[in-house]
Amino acid sequence: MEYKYIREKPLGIYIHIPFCIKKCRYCDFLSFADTDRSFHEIYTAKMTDEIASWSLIHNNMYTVDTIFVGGGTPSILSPELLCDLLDAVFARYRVREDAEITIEANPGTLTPEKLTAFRNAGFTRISMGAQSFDPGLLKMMGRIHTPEEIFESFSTARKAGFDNINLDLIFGLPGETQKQWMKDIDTAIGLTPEHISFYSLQIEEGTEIYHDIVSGKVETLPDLEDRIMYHNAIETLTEAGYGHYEISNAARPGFASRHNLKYWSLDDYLGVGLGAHSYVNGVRSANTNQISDYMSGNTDHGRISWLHKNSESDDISEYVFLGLRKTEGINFDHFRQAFGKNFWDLYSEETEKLIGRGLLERDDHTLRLTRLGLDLSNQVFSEYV
Amino acid sequence: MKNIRNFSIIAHIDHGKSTLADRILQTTGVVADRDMKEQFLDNMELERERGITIKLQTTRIPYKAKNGETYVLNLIDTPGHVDFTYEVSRSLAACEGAVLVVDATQGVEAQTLANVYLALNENLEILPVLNKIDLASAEPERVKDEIEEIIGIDATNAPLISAKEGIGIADVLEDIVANVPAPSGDPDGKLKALIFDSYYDNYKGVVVYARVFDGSIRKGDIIRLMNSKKDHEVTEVGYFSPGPVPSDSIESGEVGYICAAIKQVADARVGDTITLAADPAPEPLPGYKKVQPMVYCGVYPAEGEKYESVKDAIEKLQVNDAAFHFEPETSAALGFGFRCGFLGLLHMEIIVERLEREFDLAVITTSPSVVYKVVMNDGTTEMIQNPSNLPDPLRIEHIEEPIVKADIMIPKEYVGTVMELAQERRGRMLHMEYITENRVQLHYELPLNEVIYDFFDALKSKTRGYGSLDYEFIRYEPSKIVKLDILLNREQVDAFSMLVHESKAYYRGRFVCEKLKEIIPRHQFEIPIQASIGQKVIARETVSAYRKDVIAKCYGGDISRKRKLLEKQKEGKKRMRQFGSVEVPQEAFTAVLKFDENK
Repeated sequence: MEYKYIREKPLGIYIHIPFCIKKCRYCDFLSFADTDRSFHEIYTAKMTDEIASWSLIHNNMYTVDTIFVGGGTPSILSPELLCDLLDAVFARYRVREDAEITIEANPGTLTPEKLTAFRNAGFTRISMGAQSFDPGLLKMMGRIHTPEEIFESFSTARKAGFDNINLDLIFGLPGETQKQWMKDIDTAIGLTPEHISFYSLQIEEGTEIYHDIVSGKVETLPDLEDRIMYHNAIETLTEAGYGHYEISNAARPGFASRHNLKYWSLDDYLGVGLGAHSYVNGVRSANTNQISDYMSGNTDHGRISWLHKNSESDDISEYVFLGLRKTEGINFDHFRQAFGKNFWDLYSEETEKLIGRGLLERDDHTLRLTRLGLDLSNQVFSEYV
Repeated sequence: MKNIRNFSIIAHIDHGKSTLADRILQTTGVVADRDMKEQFLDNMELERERGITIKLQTTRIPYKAKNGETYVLNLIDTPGHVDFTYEVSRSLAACEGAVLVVDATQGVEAQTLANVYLALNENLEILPVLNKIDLASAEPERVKDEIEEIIGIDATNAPLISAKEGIGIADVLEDIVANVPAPSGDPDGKLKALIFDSYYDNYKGVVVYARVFDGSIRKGDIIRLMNSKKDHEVTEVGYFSPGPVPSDSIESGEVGYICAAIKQVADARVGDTITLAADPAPEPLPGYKKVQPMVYCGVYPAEGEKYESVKDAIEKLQVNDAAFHFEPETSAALGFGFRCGFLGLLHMEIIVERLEREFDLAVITTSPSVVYKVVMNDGTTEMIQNPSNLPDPLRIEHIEEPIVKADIMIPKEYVGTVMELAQERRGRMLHMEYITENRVQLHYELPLNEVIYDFFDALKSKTRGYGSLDYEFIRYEPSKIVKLDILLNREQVDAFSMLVHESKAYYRGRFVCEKLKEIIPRHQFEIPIQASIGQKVIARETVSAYRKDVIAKCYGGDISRKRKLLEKQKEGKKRMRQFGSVEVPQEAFTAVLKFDENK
């Protein structure tokens, strides 16, 4: 293999900020409320160390083309610390001029000064956790912002020069009506963001909303209602010019999240920070999710708590079940290029069965989820693991 | 021989039999205190959990008595459940005496009586002992009266003990030395030894527990098992202390073990007589019986490809359990499996649990069934233990079901409730007697199939644990038995079919439909669940179709978590059985058996 090729291997970097002002009622992500600035500083310094030690391992082989700072609520960090983090990446890795550099931000944590500072630090994209524009639903989710703050943050971000903004929305909340949801979608479209993510609420064990449901305080929305919301959203977004490109994501042409697409395309990405996951050079690994371990880990591998060298069959099955999340599906020629094998030699039985169940559809070149398959995608994916 | 004492301990369940055995081993130093697990003799994990003895342990105990002489006490354990009556009787036959443990807070119970009858039948000297004397609720005088009144044994000098606290153990030992007769037998006579238990050892083959009555056994002897008519060369003899200790011989009056390269326990059946091939005894010891299973069910590998492993495991278990029967059978729904026969439901549960724990195999069991006698129009009869094999109803003249005689002992205040229970289970009361002022024994005839499910549990719960039960098969009797079928998505699933009394069919059918509705996951289509008798549908439920099965959010590249979820889902699917287009989780088969009539 040519040396030049290796040097230009693209890499995405995910940086995890596990801090929030307050934990949302549906959230089971790794995040902590009530942290102070000095703690943020130490954590950032640890991540800077981690980036440095990874770069030694990667030894100049990669060119970074996406960075995604997620959380938690990264926007509660001071712009200086966020700037330090990006600088740590810039200092250690080649980063493409046109790299997509995203920060997740929550309305209510953003000021014009902060947004300008983010822009100056190098961020090119903002992913905003709007979730809903309905005060009642926001309250049920335990969000700390108001609908007005979403509008405000959005226009402030625009003014600060962000021309690539995503809005996250959640639907399928207990008691939510079709009308409420369509209003949310319309309002989001009305702001004309470049990208909209629309997630069906997942009730995770241990969250506050889970307890509400178990104790009978609220009732889960019937699946049928949830699905009507989902398909209505796809239809409305498509009409408004947003291409539905992944189960829960739609974007204007050219604005699909390049970073997130890496997850679904079996591309390399490095996860930095507490509990972050990586897939680099065929190896999946995860950092410890114990904050004390992470903070004290001063060796290269002290932070890694799990590691798995993907076998070829792991790669193949992941390529398939992740690839099928994309509405374009998987391409048989690409599959052959990637693995030197014919997709149908490996999966004809499973695939025919799923096509028979109306969950997949194919043409000469591609295989993708049907409309029903989008609703029952786990039924499809589990056949390929 | 005069210093040997062979004895058993008998008791109603929970009266403290195993605890007393443990304490005796500890007091005499056979087992060091530090090695003392709770209830040493019940060495199967399962036994400890359930508080019952399944496989016997027997132990030689050297004991220096107060009279200065050293005795050899052979403690012969007995299983503690009604399913194992025959095994108990053979263990008792190996003894000259039995220590009868009676809970001083509870008094005489049905199994106490059942065990005493067995012991008396073997002409044993019975030594009553009152246990749990440390408890405030102990009423030793009342219980002594009860023993004298009900059993007719003098309990005046019965030791008052607390096995748990180690009180009075020495008294029990002295009592044994003084009152259990020394064995009699002819040391020079033709060999006669009774097999009272056996287990399979990977290295030694079957290890036989035997009591030598006449003659002696030593290594190199060619022995003959008189009932199974097979000869074997003895490779080792010895005794348990409590682990096996090889010795030169087992002499007349002694208890010990024999290894003779016997390949399975069924070749060395409990109750068989060992003699010498070269110089056989004229006739075997009395009492041998080939035990017959009372309850049958289908046992199928959860994963079809494990058939051979299940077969191996079942064979291994049978090697160790002569009362357990099996033969291959095929189910349209479950594929290749086995029809297995058990002494009772507990025996069945034990075998299934052992398959799962010791062999790490997942199995599916079908509804347990008793053996029905089907009388055909042409006068011939067929014994049916598998509902699927029921002949065409048009050819059947009538069906007979097994009836048992059940002795139920309860405090008098529960008479009404228990009579109601027995009535629900189609019981016929024979008579009722006041054993004491407060205790009543009810004698019933009950269909066995009403007893095998949960009668005992129901009895316990309705009498706050005070009720006790003992039962034995008496005869077959014509009955209105119908075949209840279950249909999933309009296709009959043979593994769910059961034979039930007409009067119970509706409740049973409704229960199974409701249960299956809870357990069968939603599919892409609606699934009707129906219970039917012949063409007539008597109950119906519907599993609605699912609409959504997605992971909406991809957690920051955490593919492993997602993969795990999908793998779990796939694994769950693998554990499902496909019936037509319907996938049924395995727990469905167990769940439909957990039928509570009182709900």
